[in-house]
Amino acid sequence: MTILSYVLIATGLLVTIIGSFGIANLPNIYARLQASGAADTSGFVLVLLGFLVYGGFEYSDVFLGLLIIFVFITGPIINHAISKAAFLSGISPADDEEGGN
Amino acid sequence: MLRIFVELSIGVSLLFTLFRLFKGPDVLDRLLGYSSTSAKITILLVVEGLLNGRTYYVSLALVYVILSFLGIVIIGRFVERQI
Repeated sequence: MTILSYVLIATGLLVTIIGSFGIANLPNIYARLQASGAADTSGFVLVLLGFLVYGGFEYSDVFLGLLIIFVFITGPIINHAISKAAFLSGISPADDEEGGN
Repeated sequence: MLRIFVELSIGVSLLFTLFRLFKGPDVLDRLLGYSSTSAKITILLVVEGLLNGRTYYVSLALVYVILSFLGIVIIGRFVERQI
């Protein structure tokens, strides 16, 4: 169980670092949203699943499970809200430079 | 060992997301940076709470995630002029 939790935590941290590198370096807001939506939610859920299986069952694991379910639902909702706001406020997806509007 | 590894990784990714939060040329870039930064801060809260034996930090992280989600969705609706 400890080895499984270490593998989950290491994978989640690697995915989180790659997603943050994409957020800092990609040229367009839609590309940045794609990096955030793919990597941020999955990295968060992987790290917290690793801490969920880390020890025995405790009372705080109930809140940890609720946190995982909540983030797994609301991560795509946040990305959809930001991308819809970006599209409706006139930023074209075809711009390559920073600050396309 | 585990704590140093997690804090180093989250610190490196916090540098990238804080760069996007402070630099980003548009308000939506800053909103994206804020969303990612709050996710990293939630991971730090959970890790510190579980490894120090202070398990009420986990419910604190749940409250933090709910308030962050509400703020991001409301600012997004405000930017697209529908609120």
